[in-house]
Amino acid sequence: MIGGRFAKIAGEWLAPDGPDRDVVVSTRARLARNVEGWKMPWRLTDQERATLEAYLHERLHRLSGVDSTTYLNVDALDEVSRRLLVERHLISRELAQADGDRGVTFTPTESLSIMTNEEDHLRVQIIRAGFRVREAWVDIDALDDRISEVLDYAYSPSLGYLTACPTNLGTALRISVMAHLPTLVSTKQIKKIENAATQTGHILRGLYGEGTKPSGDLYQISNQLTLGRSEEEIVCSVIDLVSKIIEWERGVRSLLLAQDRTSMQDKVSGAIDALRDAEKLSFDEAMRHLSLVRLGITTNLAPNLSMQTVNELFLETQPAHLQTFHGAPGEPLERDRIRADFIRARLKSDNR
Amino acid sequence: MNCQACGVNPASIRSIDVVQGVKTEKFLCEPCSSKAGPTPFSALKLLEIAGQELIPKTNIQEVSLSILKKIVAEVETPRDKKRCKHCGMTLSELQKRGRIGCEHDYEVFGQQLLPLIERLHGQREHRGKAPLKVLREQRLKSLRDMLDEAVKSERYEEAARYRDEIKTLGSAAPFGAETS
Repeated sequence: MIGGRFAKIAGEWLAPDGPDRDVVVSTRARLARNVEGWKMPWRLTDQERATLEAYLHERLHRLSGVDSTTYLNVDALDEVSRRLLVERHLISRELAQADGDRGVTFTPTESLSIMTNEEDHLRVQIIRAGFRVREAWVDIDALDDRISEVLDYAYSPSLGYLTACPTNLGTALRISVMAHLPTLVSTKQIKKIENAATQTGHILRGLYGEGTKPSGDLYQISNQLTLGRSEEEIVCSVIDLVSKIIEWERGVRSLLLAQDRTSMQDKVSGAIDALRDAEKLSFDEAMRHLSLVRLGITTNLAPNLSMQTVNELFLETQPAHLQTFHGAPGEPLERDRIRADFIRARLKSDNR
Repeated sequence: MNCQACGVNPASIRSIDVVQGVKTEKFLCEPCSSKAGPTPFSALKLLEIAGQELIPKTNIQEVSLSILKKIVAEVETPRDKKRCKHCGMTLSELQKRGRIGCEHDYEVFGQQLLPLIERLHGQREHRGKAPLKVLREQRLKSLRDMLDEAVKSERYEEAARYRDEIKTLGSAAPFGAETS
């Protein structure tokens, strides 16, 4: 297990001080890059793949302007450790589940991570707290330039960065904004958001991306199209769409508050009580209650709790985190009991 | 009503463009409507391409695979067994995996892949950034051309300036790498 490598607290990107934090949890930018002269990871023999992994690790180690990094060979990790990295958004589910040599390099704050031998040779990622699309792009752009000085990228002037899947060609830039949309969910408007996203070339997905179901009313909004538009255009289009979604969610929140403050207060208080009193809590139950508590904090209906605590609980109550840091077993019932204990203790210490 | 583009012929076609979710309606005559060319890309176009089975939730990865399968089914005949000499990929393997085997596949199977790429993204030309190395090489090449030009026409002062810049660029230590 790799728990010792992490502070128990979450990475910097879960800090509660980001712009538009009432709706947006975090902003992520990722670039897919491949190295000239090597086959795509899935096409490599085990031997070639091991050689490439070692080469990439060595080159990335020489990168300047980056804090001391940690490198983990994901193939050598146990199942729980891989899931822990997925829960912390340091690696993708694809990388966790793949076979053969592959790895991840990340900084102590966990705001920068580079996956090696995923679908592409490199998946570079920057995460920032709150709604910070432009900052995330500026940072990843500079980082990409530095990587390009130690590795020769597969690139063509007409198709841009050459990626394993044609869907990522061009800029190979995907920007994902994680938004908390409790009132758009409760008023059944997510479908509309989903359509608006699709019609503007974006996609709405669950907490852990592709094919995952939403949990805790958390959604990722990302661009889908990467060829024929500049990075600047992608940045602007995501900012545009997400700004509208933020306004929409805020509008519904104030409408609900104005219409029936009491019943909203009841729901939030009920969720806080449930988290304080439960003997056991499943992940889904915990996420549902935490979502209401987060909503309560942004609408001043949960005055004694902090956004920091809720953001961290979203992460720390996930299965691999409970297993790693609180000795929870893989067995769900016992884990649900430990989850309830942990949340109760955290809320108690948070009461200011 | 006359055509809203040329204003001369009577309008006979109602043309609807959806750009970034905004619908605009125009009444055009037949010559103008065929001149209008392909609609600027919008996600709706992606839906059209994807066919009914993928509406309303369009996932570009799925679309990619389904189009790829269709294209391969259309194109691959027994006598068209092209193979990439770098990674050994064939069209039917491309179809199976939905992924390329190496960077060269985009060129080797360009004839089949380019239409797919255009249908996926609604565009076919990269408009974003380039690696610094590529930019540097481009700059070097244009400097060398300008240098040749300057020498030929005996503009020596100018030529010296180009030579200096070529020297600086050519010997520039990559700023991202540690000097060891």
